[in-house]
Amino acid sequence: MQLLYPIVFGFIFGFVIQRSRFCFAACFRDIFLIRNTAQTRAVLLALFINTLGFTLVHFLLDGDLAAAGHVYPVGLHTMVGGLLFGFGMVIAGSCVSGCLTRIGEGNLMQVVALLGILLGSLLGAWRLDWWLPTIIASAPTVFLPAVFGWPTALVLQLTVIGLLYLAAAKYEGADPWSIFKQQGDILSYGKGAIFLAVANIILFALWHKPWGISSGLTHLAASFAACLGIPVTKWQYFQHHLFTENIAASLLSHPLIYLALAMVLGSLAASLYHHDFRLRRPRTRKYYYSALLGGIMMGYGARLAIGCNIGALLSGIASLSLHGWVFALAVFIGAYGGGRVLLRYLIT
Amino acid sequence: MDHRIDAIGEFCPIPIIKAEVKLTQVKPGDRVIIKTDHTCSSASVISHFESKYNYPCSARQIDDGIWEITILKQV
Repeated sequence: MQLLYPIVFGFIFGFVIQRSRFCFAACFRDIFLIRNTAQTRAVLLALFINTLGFTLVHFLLDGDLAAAGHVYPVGLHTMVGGLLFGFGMVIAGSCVSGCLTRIGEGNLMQVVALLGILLGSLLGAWRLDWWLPTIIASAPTVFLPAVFGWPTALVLQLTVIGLLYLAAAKYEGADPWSIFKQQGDILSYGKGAIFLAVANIILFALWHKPWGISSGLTHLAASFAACLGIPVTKWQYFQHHLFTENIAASLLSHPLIYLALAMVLGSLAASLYHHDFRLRRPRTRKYYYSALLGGIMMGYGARLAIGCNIGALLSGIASLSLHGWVFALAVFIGAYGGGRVLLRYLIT
Repeated sequence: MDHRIDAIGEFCPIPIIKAEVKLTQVKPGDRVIIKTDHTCSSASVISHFESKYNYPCSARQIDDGIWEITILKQV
């Protein structure tokens, strides 16, 4: 029963991302590289709905958002983590959720990116022994409703998301609602955003925890490392009260490991059914290196920031936590840097 | 005239960047045809050139996981 919700919802997330081509990396990267904001608007729509939904769960279902949501300290670690994450996801060709989805479609470059993420997560968890006492322990945890009161915090956040949405459409010169345009039999970006946000809300209502991925991957990587004799469980990451949700009976019993695996299966099912599956090799060997390096940066960055594009960005902002917003800003800046490198070195 | 871009094995948004460059070089009425095996590109190329440039686009799945996307340059 403990694993039922993560597996069922992981499958749904993977399936929906595959069918809708939803992408968090494009949300930032395409603003700079091709002056396109379709995915930016799709992510903002998901944030808007998800914020409303988490608030409803908080009030109607007694789900304590400050305690059960993703509300974490914000500080230098969030910025550094976000910069690394944003840069890494552009050169790796996808974010953490995209990586799992692409693997389900048979993309070999993303298998290497996942190896990078696992390696980076392990490095990050190890280095938290420095970051936790030095930076994170003294960083404030800012739950917006605790600062502004619920009505102001909620209205403020929804207004900011709405304004960013309109600004994105204006910057591109696009019809704001173009993300609902249907293309063949695939889900529009807009519909994908709605399905993902609603699924995350239902998961939170039933399971009392929001969607996350990278702490699961960290536990998976740590269990491999433990097999090699590395004393991972002595690291503060696996003991600190901030991560009490992570203190599982064993490393391999972390539920988000199974959510991540189910995402790959959900994408595999969707891509097999729609004839999208194919073993894809990257065009040049260079892409394997960029995927590995980008993956390491994402894994390390996600440990510092306490979450990836899902746990910190989507679920963090939807939990009305300031760290989610700061992470998003840092990812935005990092993606700009990654974009420069992509233009310079990765176009053959 | 048709101009072909082979983007097999490339990842987003490289196929779009290549198509944008090619489209500035060709004449109105010419077609740029991109072959891609990247699932996201199969949707994002069309969405980009239709909504941003108003160039009519069409996609054809020519094999499992491979698409050929045709963009018609307008004046």
